[in-house]
Amino acid sequence: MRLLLFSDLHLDAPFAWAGPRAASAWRQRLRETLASVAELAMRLGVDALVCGGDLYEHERFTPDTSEFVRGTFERLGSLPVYLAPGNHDWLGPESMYALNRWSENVHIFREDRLMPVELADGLTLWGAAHRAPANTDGFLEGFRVDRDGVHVALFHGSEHGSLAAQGSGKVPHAPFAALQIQRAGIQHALLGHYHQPRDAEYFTYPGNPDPLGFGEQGERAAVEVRVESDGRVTRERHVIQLTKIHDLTVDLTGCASQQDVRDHLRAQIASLEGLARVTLVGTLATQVDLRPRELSETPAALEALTVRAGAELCVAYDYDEIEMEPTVRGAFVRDVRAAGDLNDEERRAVLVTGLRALEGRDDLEAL
Amino acid sequence: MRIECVKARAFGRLVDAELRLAPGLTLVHGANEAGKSTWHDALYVGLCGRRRVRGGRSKEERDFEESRRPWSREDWQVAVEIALADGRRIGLRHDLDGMVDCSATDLALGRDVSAEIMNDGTPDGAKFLGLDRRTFLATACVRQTDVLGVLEDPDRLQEHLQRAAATAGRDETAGAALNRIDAYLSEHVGVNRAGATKPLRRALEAVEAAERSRDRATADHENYLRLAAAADEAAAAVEGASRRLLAVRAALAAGEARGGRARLERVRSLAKRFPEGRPQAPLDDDTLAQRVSAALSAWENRPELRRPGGLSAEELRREIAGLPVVPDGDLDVHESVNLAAQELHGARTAVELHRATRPEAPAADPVAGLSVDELRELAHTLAQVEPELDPGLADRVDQARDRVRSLETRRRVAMGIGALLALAGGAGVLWGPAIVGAPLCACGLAVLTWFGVRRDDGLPPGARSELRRVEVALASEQHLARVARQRRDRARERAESLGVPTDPAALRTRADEEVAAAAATRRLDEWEVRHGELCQRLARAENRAVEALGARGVCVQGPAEAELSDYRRECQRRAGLSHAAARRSGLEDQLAAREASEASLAEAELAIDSARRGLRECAERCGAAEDTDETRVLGLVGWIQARRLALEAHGAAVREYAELDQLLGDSSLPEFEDATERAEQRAEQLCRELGTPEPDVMLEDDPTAQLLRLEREERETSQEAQRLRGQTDVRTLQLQGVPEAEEALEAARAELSRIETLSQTLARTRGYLVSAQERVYRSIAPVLADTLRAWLPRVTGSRYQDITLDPATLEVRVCEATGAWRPAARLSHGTAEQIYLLLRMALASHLTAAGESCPLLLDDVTVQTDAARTEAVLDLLHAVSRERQVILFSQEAEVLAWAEARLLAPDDALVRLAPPEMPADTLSHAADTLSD
Repeated sequence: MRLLLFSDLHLDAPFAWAGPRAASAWRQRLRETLASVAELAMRLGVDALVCGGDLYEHERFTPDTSEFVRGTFERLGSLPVYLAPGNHDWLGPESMYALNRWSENVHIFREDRLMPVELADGLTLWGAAHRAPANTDGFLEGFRVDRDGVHVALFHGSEHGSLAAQGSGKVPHAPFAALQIQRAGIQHALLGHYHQPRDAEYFTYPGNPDPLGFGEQGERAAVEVRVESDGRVTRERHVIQLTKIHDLTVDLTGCASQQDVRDHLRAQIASLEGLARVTLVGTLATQVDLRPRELSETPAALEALTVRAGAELCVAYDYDEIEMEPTVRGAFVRDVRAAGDLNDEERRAVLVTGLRALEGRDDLEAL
Repeated sequence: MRIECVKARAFGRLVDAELRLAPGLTLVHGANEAGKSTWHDALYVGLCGRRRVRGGRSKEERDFEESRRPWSREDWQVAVEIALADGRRIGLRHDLDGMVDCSATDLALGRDVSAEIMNDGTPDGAKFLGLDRRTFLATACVRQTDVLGVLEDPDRLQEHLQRAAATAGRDETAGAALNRIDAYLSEHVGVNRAGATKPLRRALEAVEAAERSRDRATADHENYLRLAAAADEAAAAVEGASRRLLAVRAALAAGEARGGRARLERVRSLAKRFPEGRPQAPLDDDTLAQRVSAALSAWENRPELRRPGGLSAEELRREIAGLPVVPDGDLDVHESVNLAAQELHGARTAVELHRATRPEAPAADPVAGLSVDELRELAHTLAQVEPELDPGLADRVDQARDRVRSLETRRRVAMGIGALLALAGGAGVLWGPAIVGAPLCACGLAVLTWFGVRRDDGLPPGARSELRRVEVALASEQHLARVARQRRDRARERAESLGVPTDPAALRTRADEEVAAAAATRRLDEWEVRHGELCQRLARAENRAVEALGARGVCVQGPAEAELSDYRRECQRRAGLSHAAARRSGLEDQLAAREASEASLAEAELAIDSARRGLRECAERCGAAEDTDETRVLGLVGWIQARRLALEAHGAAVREYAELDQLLGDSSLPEFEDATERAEQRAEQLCRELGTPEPDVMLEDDPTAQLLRLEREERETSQEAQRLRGQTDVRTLQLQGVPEAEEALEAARAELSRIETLSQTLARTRGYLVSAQERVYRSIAPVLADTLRAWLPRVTGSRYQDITLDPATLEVRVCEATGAWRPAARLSHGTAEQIYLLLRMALASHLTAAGESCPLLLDDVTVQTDAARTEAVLDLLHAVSRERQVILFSQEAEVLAWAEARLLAPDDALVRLAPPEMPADTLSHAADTLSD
């Protein structure tokens, strides 16, 4: 039995930084990603397409997206599609799952406990749904399969051991421990929720198949899962990623003017396509009037560009020398450097602003 | 630091030229275009170098490059040698073109110390002083324009101090920086106030608008979801209703098909029975049958003959004719008359009874002018006895009078004796022995005095009062007796005058008689009054009786009691007549009933005859002629029954044919067969649509009503579903993208956050700057004041003794010899420029690193001053050069003359630059010519 697993597509998600045009294009690419997953399933000839939740975002999905999803799965014909709603696409009377007239090949797990579907003789797929956006208990709590054969689970949940690797801000939903999978009599769990891919012994997180932001680690792929008759599982990742996303760090050391910065930056992103985020670092000459927002003018080849000042970006003031001066300037630098109520970023901003004001400059808005 | 020499390999017009400087004051003198400014710049750039930057240079740097690049050579280089306070001698060399061959070398050790003073990529000799190439320019270099600026604008002095305090003179003053921050804050942040147009307000409004837009989009989305769910639910309801309706229709169609099949079988069966069509009527004697039926009915319903008993109608008419008529008037005594009669009787009885109680008339007449009480008083007075005197009382008076007289006599004797004794004693005094005479005289006088002066005349008190008491008692009794006698006499006189007896007993009798007569008179009066009242009541009762009788139609002519009796008798009479007349109505009813029954009897006899004739006639026509009425009836009944049987058979055939007609309607049998087949096919079709071979639905008693109800239900649910679907479609078209709204909100919030961060940064920066400014001003002010205080008397010829700097503003004020304080900016030009130069020197000291002294480079600073001021300035500079190196560039002859007169080698030096027409590198170093 071969299954194609994907999850966390997050159709209709917002992309605040990208600007209206790029955000819209990004959302469109998420749709195209779903179409690519469906096409991959047909191409691979898998026995079923399974989704581990967060297919879309309940608070934002449009009627158009709803129809698109329905049509995409309908076009799969007789290929079964199993959907396990997650915390973002939780199942309710107003959810896409409830409102759509799904084709017969689509099966949605509607209970908030694991329910069986027999995929083949001796192979059972157990699936469950989030029925609320939060506070869903772990599906494996007190669960135990009630029949013989091979058992595979499909749900949206947080494996304790993988949470730390997801970075801060990831909220655990339907939590469980890897040990609970075995104790429940399940050979393998096909999961959604964590965006960082993970192929563990007893569970698989495919990760989001198309980027949802910068800084994501791992391949953006769907996972072909082969379940043998003895319960063994082998996996193969198929990269789906359509969105080209770049996270660059550009060193501005040596740039003597804003034009230098522009030229330097342009050279760095000239060959890029898609979406790019540039973090500026290095030591900037004091006279450079640098305004990152004005640098975010997107070149033609890119869909969107955001430029930000990194924590390591500094202006080439010799604070050690300045603070030796018996002047207001020296006293100011001494005071600000000694101030305990400022963090590094605030300290840097105050120093640059004050020194620029003393220099009679008009570009007082520091980086 | 002292600059020893400057070497220009190629710098402007200078080629391989060298300028050696004295440790004290060096005057570089030359005419215009002799190269003073070139040497000045070479000196500065040789010490501080130029910054090495990528990209474009500033206009100031480009101007410098344009004016100081060598005219004919490529090796644009300049070098200086300096001696530091720590004893080191440093050689600085600058490749001003490529900025590569720049170095600082310890001349004694030959070691490169460039790294110690690197600034913007090149060595900067000013850093040995704790300055840099920009602050050195602002601190050490004094140009002609600086001095002129202070002279022309007195406030420039304070501004210069502030700038120096803020940035060592290289940039803005702290105040300007703060103003710049405020302006930036105002322009790029602004205030959050309604109507404000600055970025903060705009950003806040943008966030609010974006939040509203986001909320609207979210609400629209939620509404859309709710609507879509409701539409979905409604669609499901429609589906359910349609299915229920379809099931009922299928069940009805199935039933109809089954019924159609049964009707078809019936039609076929009936059609076989009537191959000839409609059955014909078997009889045409309907008229006779009706007549027979009517005759039988008439005979059966013939009336019964009953003859009435009792009086006949004629007898009753006669009895009625003998009855009296009903009289007019009351048959019974009317209640009002009864009441009036009772009242009259009561009044009459009361009068009679009262008359029997009339009292007797009074027997005696009263005595005129004398009441009964006066009579009784008169009798009492006449009957009174005169009181008698106490006989012992006169005796007691006599005794008391005797005793008083006796006592009086004794008193007179005693007084005579006393007089004698007094006279004797007087004689004894005069003429005898005085011892005897005097006592006798005294005794005599005492006796006289005792009896003569005493108030009671010397009598015992009891005797005289007893006499007075008994005399009063006697007089009182005598007075009472006299009064009683007078009163009796007057009473008697009055009785006699009134003609009444004087005997008291007779008078009392007469009074008693008068009392009795008065009581009788009073009783008679009271009787009369009551009698009058009763008579009036009787009269009123009579009137009321008359009125009551009048009201009943009686004409009253005699006494009321008699009229009442007549009225009662008349009532009794009329009652008797009325009772007899009352029978008339009953008799008349009896008469009418009797007459009706007699008429009915006649009619019944006629009806029986008619029915009998009908029977006979019908029997003859039906061939049932019999002898008696009963046999005729039996014959006719048999005839009717036979006819009914024939008609019933025909009726059944007609009904069946009508059924056939009804079943077929307008159709023929083949058409009926086709219709039945179609109904069966429709039922099968509906069952197929329903998906079941047999509809599983319970038909109600009234399936049509059930069908109508379900159709209505389907129609209503369908309308509701369509409505919701329509709303959903409309909402879908109006739906705003939630992600887009969230993105717009996020962008607005990011912009607001940026502005708020900027605002916070500017506020913090301002706070730190203000704090730093205040602290530095407070610290620098006393330092500068101390420096100036040491020099001021010397350079002003003791005109000004003291100086202060305001720590808040760095305003300079000087104190005159008189003790008055004046702002330094308002002093004479000469004093002002001296104070300015002293301040520059003080600032150079203050800003220079500890242990070092900063050279002063002055360029034509005296060109605008008169000779006296010039000399004063030069004297000042000469004095200052004892503490720090002073390099003065000048074109003035007065300065040259002063230098030739005052400067002494080796501390000082005079350098004469060649005129413009001479080669530029030609220097006339006068230091050697200066006298020691």
